[in-house]
Amino acid sequence: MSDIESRLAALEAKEAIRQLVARYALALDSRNVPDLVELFVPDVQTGDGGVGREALATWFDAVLRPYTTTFHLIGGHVIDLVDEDHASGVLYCRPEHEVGDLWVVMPLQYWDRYERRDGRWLFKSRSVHAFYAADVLANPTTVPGRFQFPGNPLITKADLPERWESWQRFWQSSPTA
Amino acid sequence: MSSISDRLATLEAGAAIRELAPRYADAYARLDLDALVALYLPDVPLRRAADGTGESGRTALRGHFERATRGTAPGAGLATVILHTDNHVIDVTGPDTATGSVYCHVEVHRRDGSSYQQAVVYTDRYARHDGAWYFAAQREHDLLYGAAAHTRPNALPPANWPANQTGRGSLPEAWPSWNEFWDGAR
Repeated sequence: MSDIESRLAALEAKEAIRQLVARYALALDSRNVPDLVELFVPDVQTGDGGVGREALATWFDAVLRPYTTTFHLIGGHVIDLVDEDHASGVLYCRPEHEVGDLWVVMPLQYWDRYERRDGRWLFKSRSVHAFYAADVLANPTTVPGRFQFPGNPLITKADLPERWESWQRFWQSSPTA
Repeated sequence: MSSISDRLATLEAGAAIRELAPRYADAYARLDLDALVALYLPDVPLRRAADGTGESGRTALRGHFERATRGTAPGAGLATVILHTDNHVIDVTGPDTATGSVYCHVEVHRRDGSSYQQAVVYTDRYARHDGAWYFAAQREHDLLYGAAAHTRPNALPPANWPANQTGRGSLPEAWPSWNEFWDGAR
């Protein structure tokens, strides 16, 4: 592959991956599960040990019912290309969820792996790491565990920033400030 | 595979179309209505009125924005307009045409000190004209909710947007897939 070719392919890959995450949010918020699972590799592994898009649709169905209106506004997207067909990414998102009488805001990062199959960039895997979940009227720092999202079957705790090793090292080196 | 030139043109089209959303937000915030309507095709067709008549062009569109931003009552005009956009899905439908959707978190402060926030999804049509990309139609803006600061949207009455800025919007129920999802338990 020529130099120009490979530079162009890298730009195309990043553009395709940016489209992928925007389409995920739209499919999720419109509860378009058929479109949603098409964004994943055909042999996707589900959180409960299943394999394939049909299994993923069943898995998503259960995950997406305990709340009604959602709005997944995404933001900063770091994309690292590993090779021609593999990439990883970190994506910020500030979703809102209608959970009964609560309106839950849950700032988070997605930690993604992408793969190109038959020329299409798809999700290989995606995991959610929340900073907090709290009702829009609540103070997140006083919510127990910074996590208030009744009945969420998938995300049950806020694991950022503590999960970052750099964050731990920073405070261990001088814990007084 | 397409030629290098075609692939580059596709990337350039995507980049130009993606800029339309923040350019719209910036022009709206600055209340620079000339810059705002310059993002549309010169002969952009406007939505048909209730009586079936239809205007077109940037001058007519500017009048529409003028009414939307100045408001109809004293103090109702817009002071601070923060249109935080992202989630830009773009589907190129031809060499000079594309469609797309954009998410927007809206925060507006009126001149009388009142304010509201909204969750909006724009559905757009784009066209290339003399080498540049423009909005090819007025943006369809569908509301999920509008709410005053420190207000849960849950129990708000329907907004009947754009007549009212706050209340529940037509989304998510206006998405056909939303109704199919809730109608069919797996």
